Amino acid sequence: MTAGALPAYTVLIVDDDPDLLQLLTDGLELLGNFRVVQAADGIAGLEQYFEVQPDCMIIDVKMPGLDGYQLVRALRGDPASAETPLIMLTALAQEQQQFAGLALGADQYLIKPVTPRELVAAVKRALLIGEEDRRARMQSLLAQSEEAEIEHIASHTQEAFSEQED
Amino acid sequence: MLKQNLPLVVVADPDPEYQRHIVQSLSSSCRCLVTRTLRETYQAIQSERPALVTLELDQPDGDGLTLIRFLQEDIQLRSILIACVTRRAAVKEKIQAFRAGADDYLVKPLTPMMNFYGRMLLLLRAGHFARAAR
Repeated sequence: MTAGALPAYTVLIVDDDPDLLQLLTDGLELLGNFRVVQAADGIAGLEQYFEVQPDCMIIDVKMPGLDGYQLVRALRGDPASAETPLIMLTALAQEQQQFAGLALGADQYLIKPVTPRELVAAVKRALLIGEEDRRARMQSLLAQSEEAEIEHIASHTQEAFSEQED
Repeated sequence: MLKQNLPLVVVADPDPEYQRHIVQSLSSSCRCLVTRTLRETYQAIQSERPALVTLELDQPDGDGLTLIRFLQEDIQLRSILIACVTRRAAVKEKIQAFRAGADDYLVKPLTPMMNFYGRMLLLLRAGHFARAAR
């Protein structure tokens, strides 16, 4: 490794768009000096994770098989994979969807289109995230979601059932 | 907030240690109802209509996946959020559970790093957004 260069971190990138997958792979390799492993959908991404043990993962949201939200949950819910930095990359730009992605455990939520340079910067940021940062973010997300909302969940659930029964 | 206004969580786990752990973790923000078999769990779901079920897939009277699939086929029960909290750690088990309709999957043991309480609370608040986005 040359002085000042990053070590060869491994990035696992999961996206069902082969053209975008290759474009981002090239960018990460050339601009970031990362070793990149590709997976074409959520199921392949989960399987590859345990073979590759990546330092960081980039995950598309809309995918066949397992979607990006499910993949993030599966990874964050297992002590064997819970600490890996995760970046969600998606065309879904609504605030609620971003909140859901971060609430499920993603470290960053990037909206497409994203340039290879922006993605490299995001991966570098993600590699520095520690457990304390994640705890602080979860506390912040919990605070953001209005306390009243949880109060309404029980009644909302009952309303949903009532509507279905009508 | 009145206790009766808190969301109801069915804790479906045959292991008394995990029953206690999960109930204690959630008790400040949820009401909890413990069940020990799939049959008990299904009965509780039908009668109580919880917001969330935490489900150990290994149950004394069958496979929890069966219950997930059963709930998904029922138009009146499919809106209930399901978090598998299980000792099954294989990738194929996780894939099967999500494809059956599970909203979350946590592998035991629950470590502090997994932040079970925060995660379940955020699932209750944001789980339906994630479903809608699919």
